Amino acid sequence: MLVGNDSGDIEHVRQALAGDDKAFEQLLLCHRQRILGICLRLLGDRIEAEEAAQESFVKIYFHLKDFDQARDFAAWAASVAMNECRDRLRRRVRHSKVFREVTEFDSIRESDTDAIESQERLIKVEKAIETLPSKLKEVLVLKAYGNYGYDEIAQILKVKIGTVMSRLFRARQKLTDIINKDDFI
Amino acid sequence: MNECRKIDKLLWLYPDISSSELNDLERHLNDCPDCHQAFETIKTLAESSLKDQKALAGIDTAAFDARVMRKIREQKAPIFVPQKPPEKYALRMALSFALAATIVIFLVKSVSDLGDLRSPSSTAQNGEQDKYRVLNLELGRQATLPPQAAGEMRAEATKKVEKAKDVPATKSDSKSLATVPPVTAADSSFTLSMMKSGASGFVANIAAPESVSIGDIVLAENNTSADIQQQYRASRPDYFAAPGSLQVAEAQSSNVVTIEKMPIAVKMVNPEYPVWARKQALSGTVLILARVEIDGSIKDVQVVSCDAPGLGFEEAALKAAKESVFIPASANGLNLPVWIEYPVKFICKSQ
Repeated sequence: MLVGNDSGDIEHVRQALAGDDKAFEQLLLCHRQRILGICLRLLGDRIEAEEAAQESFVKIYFHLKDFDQARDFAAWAASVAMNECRDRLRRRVRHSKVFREVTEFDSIRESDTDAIESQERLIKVEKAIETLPSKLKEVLVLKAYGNYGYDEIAQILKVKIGTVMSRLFRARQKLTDIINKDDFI
Repeated sequence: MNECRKIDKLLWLYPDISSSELNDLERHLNDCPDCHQAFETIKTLAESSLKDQKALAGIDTAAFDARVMRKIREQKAPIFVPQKPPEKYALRMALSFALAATIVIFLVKSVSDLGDLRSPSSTAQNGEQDKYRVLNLELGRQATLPPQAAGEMRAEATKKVEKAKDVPATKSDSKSLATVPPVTAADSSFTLSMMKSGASGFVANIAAPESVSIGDIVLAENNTSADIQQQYRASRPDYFAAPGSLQVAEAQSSNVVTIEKMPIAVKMVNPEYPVWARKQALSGTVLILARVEIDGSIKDVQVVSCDAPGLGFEEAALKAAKESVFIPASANGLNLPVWIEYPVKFICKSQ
């Protein structure tokens, strides 16, 4: 996974602010995959995740001047993407859910029982994430799918690190409870 | 429980943990079935994340970047068209010009009436003639004299006009008075005195609603005079009260302002793709007409056309346009509101 380092990010941000679009493309390259990762898991739809990520980068471009360069760019970019996903989820609730697509899962090729069990567990976990309350879901997705650190998540969600840790703990507990229920799915 | 919290933190870091931490972890996992389950969950989450990453690796990154950069370019440079007078002011202008046009008609009328009103030897025949003229004016704005005695009446009136005032009068023997002489300041004062002298038939005509029409505006525009300018200034206190705006004010009064700097987009908001249209893979183009105010904001915005109406494209484009911010247009160092027109294209890539 490509993870941009901080000093490089800040340099690119400065160059982009000076009007260098190539520098912005570098930022895009460094953060695209992570942003896409969290969008995909939050929205559960690859096409919509792509759109949300693109939209986030456009917003990042036009609001780059608002970015506090003392802060972590990765966290700021993720918070923009997070807001975009929240907006989209809100709109989705408002509009009909009829056209909602379900994430496609890879078909099971292996025939051995272990593989099937692990595949089932994977599906269970992914479905269980969908059912989590949004606060817990966000923190879990940022940690597990975005691979962000506790301090970064705290910056993204504008909460204290202690809150992040306790939410993550609760999210994981809840997830384990849900998937251990036999009648789940 | 405290121990479990500590381990939970380690679990998230796994496998990037030190060997001593790994020992702690293993020991705790053997003792604590809850944490063991948690470990399983986190391992599954990691697998799921890996699977997502594999799925996302299938995305055409070059196309993704190109789309982002294209969206940025589109928002940076919207297409502008020359400004159009805003509707709110257009109405005021139309009213002002219509009033001016009515005054012009008065003037022409007064020239032909001069002899009758000034002449002390006005007779009952004159009164009858007036009535006839007013009727004609109301019907077709064309004052014709009654066929009988028309020749001599006209000749007499024309003579008196030439004597009394140095006003160019229509000397031809045509029945129509449509040829409007250039209006001067002297003429307008003359008109006022005529109005005071009790020509009530004409006053009623000023208020006639049909006086507001395109024809009148064009007529008045062609005859821009000090009088019209004054009225225009009175109707636009926001422009003409400001000191230093005289140059622009002069230009405004003749309805031609050369915009030196067109608005530049500072913030163009990308419209939301209507969810239903996206799911149905529908595309559309909305032509937006927006008024960029002198502070750069957009308050008044309209949809000019939409090739796929009723799918939410118009609402999305309008909403986005209202949130956009521009550097306002300017001329002679003065910011001016202008109308810009730009297409908003909704293209569904899977179409």
